[in-house]
Amino acid sequence: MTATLILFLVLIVIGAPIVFALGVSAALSIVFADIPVGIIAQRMYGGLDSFTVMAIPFFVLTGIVMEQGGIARRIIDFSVALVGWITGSLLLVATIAGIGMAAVSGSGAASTAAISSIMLKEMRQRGYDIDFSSGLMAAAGTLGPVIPPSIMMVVLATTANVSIGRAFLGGILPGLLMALMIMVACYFYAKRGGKAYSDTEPFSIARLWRTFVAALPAFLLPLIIVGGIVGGVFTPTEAAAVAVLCGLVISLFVYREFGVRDIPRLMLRAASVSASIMMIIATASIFSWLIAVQDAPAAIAATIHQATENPLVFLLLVNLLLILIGMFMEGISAILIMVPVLLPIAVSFGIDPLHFGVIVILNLSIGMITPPYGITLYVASSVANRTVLQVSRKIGLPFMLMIVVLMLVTLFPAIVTFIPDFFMGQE
Amino acid sequence: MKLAKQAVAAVRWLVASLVLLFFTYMTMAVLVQVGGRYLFDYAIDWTAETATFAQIWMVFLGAGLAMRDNLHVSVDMLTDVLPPLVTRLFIVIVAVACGWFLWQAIMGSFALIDIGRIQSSPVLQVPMWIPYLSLPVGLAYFGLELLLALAAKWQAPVSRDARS
Repeated sequence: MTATLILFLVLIVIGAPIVFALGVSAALSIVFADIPVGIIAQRMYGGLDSFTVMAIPFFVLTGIVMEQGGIARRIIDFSVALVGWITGSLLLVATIAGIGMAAVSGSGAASTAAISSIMLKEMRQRGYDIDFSSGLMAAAGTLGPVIPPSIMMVVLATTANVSIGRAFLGGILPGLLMALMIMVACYFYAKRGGKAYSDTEPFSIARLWRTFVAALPAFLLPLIIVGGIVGGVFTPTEAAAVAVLCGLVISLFVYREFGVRDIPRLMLRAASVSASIMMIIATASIFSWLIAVQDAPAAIAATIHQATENPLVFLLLVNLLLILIGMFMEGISAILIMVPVLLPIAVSFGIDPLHFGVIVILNLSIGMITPPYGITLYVASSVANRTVLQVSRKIGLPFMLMIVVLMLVTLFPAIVTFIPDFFMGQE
Repeated sequence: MKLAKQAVAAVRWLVASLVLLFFTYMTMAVLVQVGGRYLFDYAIDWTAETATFAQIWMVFLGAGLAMRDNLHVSVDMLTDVLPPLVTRLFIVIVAVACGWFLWQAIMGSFALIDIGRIQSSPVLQVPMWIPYLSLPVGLAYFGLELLLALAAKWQAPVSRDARS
């Protein structure tokens, strides 16, 4: 097990794609353990032989269709009408837009790219600190995996064997809490920040209504998806396919920003993105099979139980470990490797799997804005034409706030479980 | 060389067309499943099975396309700052390791296909070698794109920030 992990890290450091780093390290361990290598093909096939994970390509396609359809522009217009009159308006707008984008697209990088490419120009014109603003938009993007629908949540729910509906609902409060904390902090930051941040636009109810109607699909889609799943109307995969259909109808007939001719291009893009995610699922399932066969969780659990019997201490340790992992690893592979090991231990401490799962997601979201490998940090800096190093110097405030939210969620499971329990009953 | 380029372009076009076909089928099948249940009050059971097979084909074929589009995440932080000679050494190691892995997976898939000749799917009785065949076909194309990507990196060892 240790040798496998070391090999995995070495492969990543020398530049192997993560999908191969997972596969090669697991396959070599299989060879050394004298297990027939036929298991490699079997596990890869088995990892994809699932109707549930089909929600992933559909969510990816929905996100791409909505982005091309111009949803980001409309969400931002609505956010400007909503909070544009407050000091530090553009920072608040970016955060609200982060919530909106999170609700139509399942990934963080896409949200950050869409928001920063639209908002940076005006931030520059008004003289905002570009590094701080980019860091903030990187943080706003991390709401993507927390607020439903979320690809990471689908992977988590299937790995942890909790219902996707509960997982989606469980992300709502932590996500909103995160957005709220970021906005409050931005307000005070802007108050002290001088003239550049005091430019605002007057509030108007008429404008708020007009932009709300234009952005309505952004609110309808998550309602259809989450409502449909929670209400038992659709399975998650069906809901995701219906979302594709809705996204296409909205883009083709309401927004009309692309035509039928563009659909194959968008689908190919979505297929490529989905394949890159799902191949990780395929190779990681060799890895997780190995973990299960070697009974690694039981061995690790025994060691941990010797050290502590306190669930909170265990969770704090897990947070430390996952933040560290999130700094270096991409989220989905981190879930696929770490959850099968850590979840059984968490359960042995009496921790609710859903609570634990959302803690994992929050940790990996924090990892998205931390160097050296943070995907939204990277996207935000490249859109702003700043180096990752320049932006990461200003990442401190959102980072600290996300840690605070993580601690609150760790201490109070109800933040996660309240909404799922309310709508779906206690499990 | 020109012929080889044309051959690669032809393979890419074929793979992209198949991927589109499978993706379209998946979407349609799941929508038909929902429509059948709510509009016609008729439970369809073969859609989930066939859509899953289409998904498996789409992903194994799409893996190579994702390689072409530079979508497979890798960490270039170290290889970007090392001298080109070391980076090239790493490229060789990565190529050998990944090539070995794909080889093992493809060989294993032939055994699966053999089993698939006598095995059929639960709902529609589809012979299982049909979905299993996606492994060697898709992974072989994946290997081709990996080779092309590594060759490009060999030419220009410092990435233009390949993590995008």
